Amino acid sequence: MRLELDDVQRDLLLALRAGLGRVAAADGRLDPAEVHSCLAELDLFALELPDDAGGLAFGLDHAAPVCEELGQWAAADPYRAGALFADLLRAPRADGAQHQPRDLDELLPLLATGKLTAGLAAGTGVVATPGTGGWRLHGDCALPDPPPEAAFHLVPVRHGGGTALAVVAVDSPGLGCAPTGRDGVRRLRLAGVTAHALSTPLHDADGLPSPLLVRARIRQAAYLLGLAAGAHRLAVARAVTRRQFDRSIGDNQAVAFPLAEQFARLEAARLLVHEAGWHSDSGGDGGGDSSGSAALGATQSLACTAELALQVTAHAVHVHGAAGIATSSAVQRHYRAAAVEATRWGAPAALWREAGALRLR
Amino acid sequence: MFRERVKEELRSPDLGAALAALLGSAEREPDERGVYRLLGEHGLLGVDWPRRYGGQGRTAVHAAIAVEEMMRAGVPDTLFVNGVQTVGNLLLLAGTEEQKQRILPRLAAGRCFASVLYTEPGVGSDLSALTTRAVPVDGGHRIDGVKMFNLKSGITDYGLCAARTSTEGSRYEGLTLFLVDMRAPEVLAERLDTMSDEQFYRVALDGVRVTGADVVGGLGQGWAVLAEALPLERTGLDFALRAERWYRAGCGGFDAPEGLAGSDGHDRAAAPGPTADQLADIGRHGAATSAARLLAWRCVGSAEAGRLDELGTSTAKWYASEQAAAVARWATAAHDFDAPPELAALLDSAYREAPGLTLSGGTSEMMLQTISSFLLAGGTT
Ligand SMILES: Cc1cc2nc3c(=O)[nH]c(=O)nc-3n(C[C@H](O)[C@H](O)[C@H](O)COP(=O)(O)OP(=O)(O)OC[C@H]3O[C@@H](n4cnc5c(N)ncnc54)[C@H](O)[C@@H]3O)c2cc1C
Repeated sequence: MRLELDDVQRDLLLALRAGLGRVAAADGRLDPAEVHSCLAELDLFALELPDDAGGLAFGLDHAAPVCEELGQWAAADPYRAGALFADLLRAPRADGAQHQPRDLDELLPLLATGKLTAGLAAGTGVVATPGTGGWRLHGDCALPDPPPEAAFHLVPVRHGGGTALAVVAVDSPGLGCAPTGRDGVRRLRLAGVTAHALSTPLHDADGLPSPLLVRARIRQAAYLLGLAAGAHRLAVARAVTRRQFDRSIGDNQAVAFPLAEQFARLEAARLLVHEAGWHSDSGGDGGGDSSGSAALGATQSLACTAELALQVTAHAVHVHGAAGIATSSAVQRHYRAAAVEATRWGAPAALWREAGALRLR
Repeated sequence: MFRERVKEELRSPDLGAALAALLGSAEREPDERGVYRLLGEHGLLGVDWPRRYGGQGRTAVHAAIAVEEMMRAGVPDTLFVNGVQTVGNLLLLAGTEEQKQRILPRLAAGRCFASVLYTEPGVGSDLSALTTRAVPVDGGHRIDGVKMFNLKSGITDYGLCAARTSTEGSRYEGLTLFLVDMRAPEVLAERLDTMSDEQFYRVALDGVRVTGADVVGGLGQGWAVLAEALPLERTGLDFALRAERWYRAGCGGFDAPEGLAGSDGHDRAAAPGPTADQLADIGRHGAATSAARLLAWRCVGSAEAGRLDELGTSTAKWYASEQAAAVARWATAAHDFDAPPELAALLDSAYREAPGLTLSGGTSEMMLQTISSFLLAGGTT
């Protein structure tokens, strides 16, 4: 495994950074539609998809830096849900369909160009029951703001075999979507909605996360890493420019040292994320050497980056002083995004328990 | 594969037996020189040094693999870290041809040993304040001063000593490194008891004579040489390996919980499953221990490419030493008085060693000072 980015990864990253830089407002704010067209222009939606779907067939080792860069901007990100959707379509599914229903089959090329996007719901409130004509979904869950033109939502659902991901069309009968008191999060209500497709359970009978979940966790970890690293960069810049008592606030060790510690933790986390991506790309399915498995790598890097994102973004606001709380400041967007993104795939404590159990296997 | 070959060498009858005897010794700090002689014979000490200096002519990556396997086999590493890595690599970097030929082959053969004499009673983090004096005399210099908190000085042949040769200019100028003969009558090494298994020494230099051939890196060049050489000893690998060893010990006795246990059907009654908190700690420390090793290996890779930088090494040293110390504390607390005697002894030793890790080789605060100065100067993007 290489521990530094290679030239292709670096080029990809710089192209995305430049593209986002061109459309960002002065305070770094990005319009979700602009992010989408930037990703589409750079052909990034095709990154992980196979050749025959018009994809570029790169692995997570290339997708992770992209997710990280999106996190660096605290950008609304249509990439992760789209890539997960594509993984779901390509994986064996619980409905046993070896060949996709035609309409689903045609979705991959649309995902590859970014013409199709999806929302990604979170929470445990939806139950799936087998019915005539497919799985029927009932219950409520949270929906962090989906991309503007999302045609589908991916919804975590519980059934006898565990938790799985269901695909529902946004215009399905029985589906309601309403704002909530929580910033950036909507509520999805499902009353007898028919699932277009259902993934296999996200954990197998032994508790091992499925390859689908492993990949989603790694992308999420990369995004969270970026979220934290972006806030950290803003805090460092602030520590240099803000002067009090006739010197930069960063000249005080009480300000400088926590930033240095966080830098080291971010570097450490980045290596964990990349290692996880590497294991996943090279087919580590969680079997074999447990400490080297993709399952463990994905779980621990998500737990680690989720906690880091919460901690580093909060501290970055603190370093900015009261100015950091004003909505005109960039850093508060990272802090607020962390609240939504850090728990999308479960609370960090639960992920740590899962990682611990995987280590003892 | 090289790693397999190293493991085989370590298992060879002579080395295996000598190591087992050393590890089984009831002494607190048994003399490991016999084991080192065998490590030298098996080619495990100067792995990345040129053949003409007694090395194997391999890469920094091979050397790091050898270190990993030696430590995993239980080889005490101070003679290696202080002697081969710190003194040896510094000589390789800045020594004269004569010094390299005189000392490196014997270090690589485990037939001579070196210790580091930097710290003084009043001087630790701020080496530029050191007061040991080296004054010119006929045929060389005469050194007077006291060095503190150094390891292994009672059994080493050479000491790499930092001394002041001039008081002109800034405090950073006028420092010079010397190779001191530890067996000279003017050198008095006294043990200084510590809570850790390894003891400190206090070394009094009472007019010891050195010649021009013992000056390392040139008169007045001490600070510059140290600045260049220090990153070489701060890959963090030795700390990451301690974290790894103690983490494994800490997980000992915990069995996989139901649900993730697999169906091997073995009896779990003897070992109750970990609690939810313990499980989360096992996950956390496992991840941070893996990350420490990755950071260290990234430094090894940079060293290999000739791009070892102070930011990378300070990051790795800080992270790995803090993590090793944290694991030692966690593992000790995670096992109560029911821990089997061998585990209890290992964890006790780890706990007593832990506080030194974040001090030796540059304290955590000095690492953070370096990292933050890079950050604030915009040197990390
Ligand atoms: C296990 C071990 C092995 C060692 N082996 C050797 C050896 O072989 N040879 C040798 O020469 N020396 C050796 N040392 C000594 C080591 O180099 C010193 O301990 C180290 O340089 C720190 O110096 P000090 O202990 O005097 O602490 P001090 O410099 O007195 O520092 C005390 C505390 O204050 C903090 N501090 C100091 N200055 C600052 C600052 N500017 N900003 C913020 N915090 C600060 C430090 O980080 C530390 O926590 C060893 C030490 C240990 C623990």
